[in-house]
Amino acid sequence: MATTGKAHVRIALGIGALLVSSGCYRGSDGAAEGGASGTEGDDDGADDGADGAPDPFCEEDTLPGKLSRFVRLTHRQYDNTVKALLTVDTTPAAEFLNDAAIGGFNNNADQLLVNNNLARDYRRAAEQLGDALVTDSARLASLLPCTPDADPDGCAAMFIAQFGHRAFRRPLTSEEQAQFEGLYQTGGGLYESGSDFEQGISFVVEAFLQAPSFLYRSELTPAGEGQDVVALSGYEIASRLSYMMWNSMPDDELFAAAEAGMLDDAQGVQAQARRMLEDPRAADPIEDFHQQWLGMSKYASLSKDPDMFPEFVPGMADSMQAETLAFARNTILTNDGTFTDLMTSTDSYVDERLAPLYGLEGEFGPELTPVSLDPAQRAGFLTHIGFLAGNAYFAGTSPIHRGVFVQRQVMCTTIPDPPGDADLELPPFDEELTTTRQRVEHHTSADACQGCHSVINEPGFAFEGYDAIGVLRTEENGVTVDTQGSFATPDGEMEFTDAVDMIHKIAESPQAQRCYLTQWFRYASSRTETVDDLCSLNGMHENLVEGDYNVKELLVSLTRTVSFRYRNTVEE
Amino acid sequence: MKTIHRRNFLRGAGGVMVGLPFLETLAPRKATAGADDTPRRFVSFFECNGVEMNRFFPTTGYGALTAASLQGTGIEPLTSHVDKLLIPRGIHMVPRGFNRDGTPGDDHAKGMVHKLTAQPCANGSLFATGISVDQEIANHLNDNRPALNLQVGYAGNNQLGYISYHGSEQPAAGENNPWFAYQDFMGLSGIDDVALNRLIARRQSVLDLVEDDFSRLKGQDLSAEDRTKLDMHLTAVRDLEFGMGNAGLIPCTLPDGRAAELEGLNPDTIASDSEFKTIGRMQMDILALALACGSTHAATLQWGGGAGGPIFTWDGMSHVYNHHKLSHGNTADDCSGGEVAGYLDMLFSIDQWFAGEFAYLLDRLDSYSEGDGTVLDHSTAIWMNELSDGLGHNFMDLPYVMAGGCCDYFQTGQYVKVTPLDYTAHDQDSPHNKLLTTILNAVGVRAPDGGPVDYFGHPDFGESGEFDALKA
Repeated sequence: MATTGKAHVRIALGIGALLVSSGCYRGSDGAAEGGASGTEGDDDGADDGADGAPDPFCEEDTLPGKLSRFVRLTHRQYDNTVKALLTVDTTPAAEFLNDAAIGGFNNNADQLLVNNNLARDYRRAAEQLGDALVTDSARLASLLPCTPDADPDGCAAMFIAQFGHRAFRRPLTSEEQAQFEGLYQTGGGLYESGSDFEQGISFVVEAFLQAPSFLYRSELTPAGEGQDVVALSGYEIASRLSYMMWNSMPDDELFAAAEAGMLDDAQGVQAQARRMLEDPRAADPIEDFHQQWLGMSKYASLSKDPDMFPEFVPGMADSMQAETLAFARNTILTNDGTFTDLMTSTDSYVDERLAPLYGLEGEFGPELTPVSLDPAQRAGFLTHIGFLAGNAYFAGTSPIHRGVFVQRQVMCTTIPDPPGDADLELPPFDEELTTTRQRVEHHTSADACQGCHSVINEPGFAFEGYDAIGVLRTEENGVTVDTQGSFATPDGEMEFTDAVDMIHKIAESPQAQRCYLTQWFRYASSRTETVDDLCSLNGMHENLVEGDYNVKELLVSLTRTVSFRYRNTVEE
Repeated sequence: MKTIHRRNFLRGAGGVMVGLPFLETLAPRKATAGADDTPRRFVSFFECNGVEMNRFFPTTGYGALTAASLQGTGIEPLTSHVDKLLIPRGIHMVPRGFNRDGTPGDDHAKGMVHKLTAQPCANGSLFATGISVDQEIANHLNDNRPALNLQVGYAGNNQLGYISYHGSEQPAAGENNPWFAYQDFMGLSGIDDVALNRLIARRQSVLDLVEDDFSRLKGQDLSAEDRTKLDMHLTAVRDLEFGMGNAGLIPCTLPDGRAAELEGLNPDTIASDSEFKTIGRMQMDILALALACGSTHAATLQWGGGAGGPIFTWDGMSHVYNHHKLSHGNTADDCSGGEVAGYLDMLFSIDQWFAGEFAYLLDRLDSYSEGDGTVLDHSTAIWMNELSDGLGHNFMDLPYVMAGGCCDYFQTGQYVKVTPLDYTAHDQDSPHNKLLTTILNAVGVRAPDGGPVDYFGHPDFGESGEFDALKA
């Protein structure tokens, strides 16, 4: 294992710090112990022994990873849930204060907190939704399971039981039922308009939306005496499934499965996971994950030299993001694709802004149109305009940014930030330094830099065949671009002739596959992995390799782990 | 944890809601402001990306400041307040930048995270590992309300987006919508009695429900972390009931015309930089009012975010590159573009513009009279910066401009060297945590034994004590 001369900054990127002493070479996953092979079929039944629970990916019983029992809805999940509950097209969370992100993902349970202003935001949204409902008789009636004419109080009770079940994602207790019926009774007169019945119903809704049992996915199944591991209830599993697979609340079928006990074993969970992936709602987390993993939020603030790149027109950031999101969605969900497809497919989706950058002829409009790109020139999302322009400068390319992205995000290599006093300015072009590659090589040639830059620069140079906005180029300043290189990976030295060649090799690299799995694990679990998860992750990885790393299978696998179906009661 | 449940106090009133904004009736009043009762406050006016160091500081030597001291400098627009200014010199950040202390984060992260906390960034998240001085003040003096945190323009949601922290890895997001910020402490003023009673009844019933739901959840055998999480949320909900203020002598309301402008702001412009100046002025009106009407003892106003900032195209500026790029004198954020010709003059213009906005804030604070002076006289408002020289991400010789005597705690009208060294740009001069300690004592925070606070920040990096040279 190569080591680096020095670690500039003591910085940990998730589990990297746990397993890797320092430096830039080995990624988090490369250091993991070899995992047990998958043990299909013996994962049924809940063994709540003190030593853990059975995990289909581990030979030994395993402790689930620690997760809060109260994971707050993300803002995206809040909006989706409100839409589903109230059948209204609104996005109140757009005005909520942002959640902080950890490791690039804004759904880490540690940061999903409610302090000062967010409590106020929730209240404002609930009051506005209540005010809107009371003035919309047709919609209010459509939410009811009954007509209130003969027995308004009886109808309200039915509504509370049904709506409450959906809002709390479990049946209400009799105490809760009585409490909300009491709120219904006091509702008349609390709004400017509407009948007493309508005001009562609107008030019930307004209250539900502020209850912690709505705002958090609560896992209340108690632990038995001395029990280290608790099997989650069917309803708790249903919420984990729906918020992972859809970023929204469970549907009727999932609730029915929970009620019937069909989520009490791994087979039942898996069956629902597969069904849910065929639903259009599955697109939401796919888009959200890739948007955050690929750092697309920075596209909106990109600017490019208007003299050099007049074709980089206003609105390009939206097109760039839309293309890669459509690519991820269609590759995974429509085409049932693999990790290799994500990395190498030349299917893409372009509009009138993007088409000229890809050199495509023909008529294109403002909508995305499916196209096939030239496989000699492009391979998957790493050759999209979004990645290439998003990781380049105003007027030139940036091999360092592109290389760091490949290492950190795609290979899960631990790369510290440059030391604070590093000179970030490349030397100017001159007679000796005629290309960007030469400037980067010259600037990072010192031994102190090479520890990291020996693995950063080379994958970055592979992309020198694309300019600062992602257009193919063969020359820079009249000199043929040099896109060859090689870098060390835990799978061995990776040699390549250009970006397309490198990407095809990354697509088959166990390190990259395993990294993609790890990134999904973090997003889907709302937490960073720990040593306790390595056995599961290793077993999952081996299973997925046998299935060509199908991404839907990856998502289903994440619902089969011991961590998904159990919670850990051991206090730190 | 909170031990006083003011909720019970409310119930004790007989459970009958009266046609008054109950917020006003419940909050403690300080109707007779004797010298010791005068509320003292802290304001951080926070700019990012550093300044044009060659032309920032007074041109006259240390000692009394005069109009001549500021002439031709980046802070010249503050001339009308020169008698109330206090400019300390020779302060470096701790933990130090340039990796001199081996703590996580790059120098933009450090500049944002350390400035109000004097704590290192956390491994992993890079958020601060401890509370910031504004929230510390609020915890002591604010009667259960957090510090007021206001944001102007875009700031991301990573470590470069926050200066205020409730605790370790608990960033406090600044409110960027002036209308929401205003509503927080103007409470329910301005609504007619009938609507007010309806709304109060709704909120009271919902609060009962929410409290019951929380108590069911907390009836479980929970981990300490989960219990803290639920308590934090419940406390936030309870505190909402009491609004943000009306504790002082001045009503927490802006003139109707100004309030209408706040409400009329296009929400789409709020998270971007397109209305940077307009929103900045609104936030300063709110901030000054919040201090004056007793809503908070600590407030921050954050302009932009680390490594960001707007493209200045107003008040005589017609820049093409944003503040961060200009701070590097470069057309690209990563310094790989070409040099921007005349960038130092552009930075100088930006400094003068911020000085003008700071002067606006001081005007607002000075416009509220209370007792023997103005709100400014009873406060310490500090213009501070993420960095000193932005080009080098420098953490030394930080540009601080303080204003207000904080009830004669500080000597004003002075330019003071606080480092014992001759040379102010040094990483062994005076650590900035001492300024934070000084601020705590200035506003009246006390140590547990009732004496002055001796230290704020992480114990491994700073020094104890205050900057005595700044004190009156």
